[in-house]
Amino acid sequence: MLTLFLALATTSAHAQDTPFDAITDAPARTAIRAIIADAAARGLPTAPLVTKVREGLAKRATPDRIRSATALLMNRLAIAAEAIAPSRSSDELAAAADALQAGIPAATLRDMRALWPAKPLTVPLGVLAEMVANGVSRAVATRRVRDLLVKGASLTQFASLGTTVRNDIAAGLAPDAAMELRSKGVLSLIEAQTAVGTTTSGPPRPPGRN
Amino acid sequence: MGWRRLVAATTLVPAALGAQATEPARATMVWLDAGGARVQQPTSTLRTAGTIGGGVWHARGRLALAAEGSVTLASDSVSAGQYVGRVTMVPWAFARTEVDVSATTNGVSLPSGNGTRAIAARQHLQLGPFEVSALAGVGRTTRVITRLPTHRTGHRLGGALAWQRSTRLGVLRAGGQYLRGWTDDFQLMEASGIVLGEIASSYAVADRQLDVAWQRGPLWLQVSRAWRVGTGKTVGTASGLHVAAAWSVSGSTTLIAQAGEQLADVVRGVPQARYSGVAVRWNPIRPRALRRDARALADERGGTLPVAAVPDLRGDEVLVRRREGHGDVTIRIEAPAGAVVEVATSATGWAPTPAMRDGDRWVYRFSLPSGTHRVALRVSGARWRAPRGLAVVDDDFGGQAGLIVIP
Repeated sequence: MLTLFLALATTSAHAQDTPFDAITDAPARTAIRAIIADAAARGLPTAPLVTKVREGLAKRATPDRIRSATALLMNRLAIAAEAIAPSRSSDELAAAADALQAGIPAATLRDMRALWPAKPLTVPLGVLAEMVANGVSRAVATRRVRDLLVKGASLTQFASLGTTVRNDIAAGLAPDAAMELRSKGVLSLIEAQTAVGTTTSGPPRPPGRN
Repeated sequence: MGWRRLVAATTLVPAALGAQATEPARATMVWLDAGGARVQQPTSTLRTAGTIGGGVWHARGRLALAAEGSVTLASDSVSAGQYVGRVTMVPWAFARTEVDVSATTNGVSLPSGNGTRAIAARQHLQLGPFEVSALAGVGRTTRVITRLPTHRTGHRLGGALAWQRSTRLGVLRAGGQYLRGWTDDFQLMEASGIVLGEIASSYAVADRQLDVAWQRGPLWLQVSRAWRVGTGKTVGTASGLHVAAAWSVSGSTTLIAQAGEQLADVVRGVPQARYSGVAVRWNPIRPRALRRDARALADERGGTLPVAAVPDLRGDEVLVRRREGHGDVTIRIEAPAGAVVEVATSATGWAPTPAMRDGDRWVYRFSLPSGTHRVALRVSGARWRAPRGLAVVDDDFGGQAGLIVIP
């Protein structure tokens, strides 16, 4: 049975126009193929792994580094699949893997799955990873994204949160303060059931002269 | 010839406080600097930066002119240029006047239109071992963010008192200064923890600084401590500590080491930053009286010139327009016309695609479906990096990529 899975996985991977031939090191190429075959055998999406290989090739990483990066991603996808089961969506698992890479624990992913059992977590988890990458502490980012999940924020509200928090941070606000500020604004919007305007504009600033 | 001594003692480079020899009526000095530093600014990661620069100073009669320039390159391809011209006049033996005109420019590969223009003046009076000074300056900072220039202004007024004594253990100098500053540069202020408590037209801060310097033979040490507090409708505090040491290894070569944290400069628009670095200064041409004076290394504007922090207040390179299920992304890169700018994304299997030249920028536009995506760019075959304006994530290959989330 395992052989059959491996064969299917190899076929599946080849069907995605794999870049393996561009990997000159034969042992590394074989190892990467085995990683992807193993992922397919475990029911994990192989597209993110093939994309990772392509990224490594585009960035001219060494074959061993590509193998290592592919293995790391496969591990993250496996943990993510367990945490946000039963979803096997490639995009959702990739977003969960990004969150794990950002240091979000698997238990948090399980908690968010429980809060949103029927909706894809792709965007909320992506925003969570984005916030941590922007310097927001994991605790604050997790708490605020969780609050928004509980309140039923829309995907657009989640995604725009990423932009506004990033802009506030770029303007000099502390990351945690920006996250608190903007997520409270979204929560106020939801609670007021209004779709226009903003409820907060950050700290007072001198009038601009652009 | 006391006024001539003062001319030499108040040039751009040398705080030649201990000059014992009689200065000639004409004197020229040339210097070249090279150094490296680690710089940490509030809104950026720890970076390594290298600086090269140089200058020339010439005194004749009661007038001295100086010009200097330096270029700083950071490890993430940030660059900054700094250019200063100074006129020093000594109308009487006990007084001298200095006027500085300076410009700083920020750019990706070469100094560009982003930056600050500033002018500052100092009037010093020498009263025995004491020196009393009045200081004033005004500056304008321009930042181009997605083609829209924003202008911020700052000005400063204050005074300083310094005391100096020569003993057999060396030359000791101690002083303090009090400055009031005003600026409408919210990026600069908020990044250093200074905010407005109420609506106001500008930030107001009060700075206090104490300096102690000691020189003996070829060795020079300096410690400065600065405190900033918001006044009026401005709230918040900031502080900085600067430690520097210099050792004149030969008549023309000096090694400098320094570390500390500088406060945001309201006039020159330089952000608050922590830094540590080393530099070497070479004086191929120098006046005789300064030959053994290690304090010729001292920069009166803070002592950090050879390893000055790289301003990191550039605009974003990415504009993302999101709607449900679709995102339009525009990347604008500032790079020379002869550069090759490539963009790659996870959505297209990381196939590098060249950006097109549009005016003075390189531009790449693309659309993304709902989901999380990664983007990277490189200029002329350099290392792949995340576009500014996106959250930066590790790419597992020792590099970085930018993260975009489309609802």
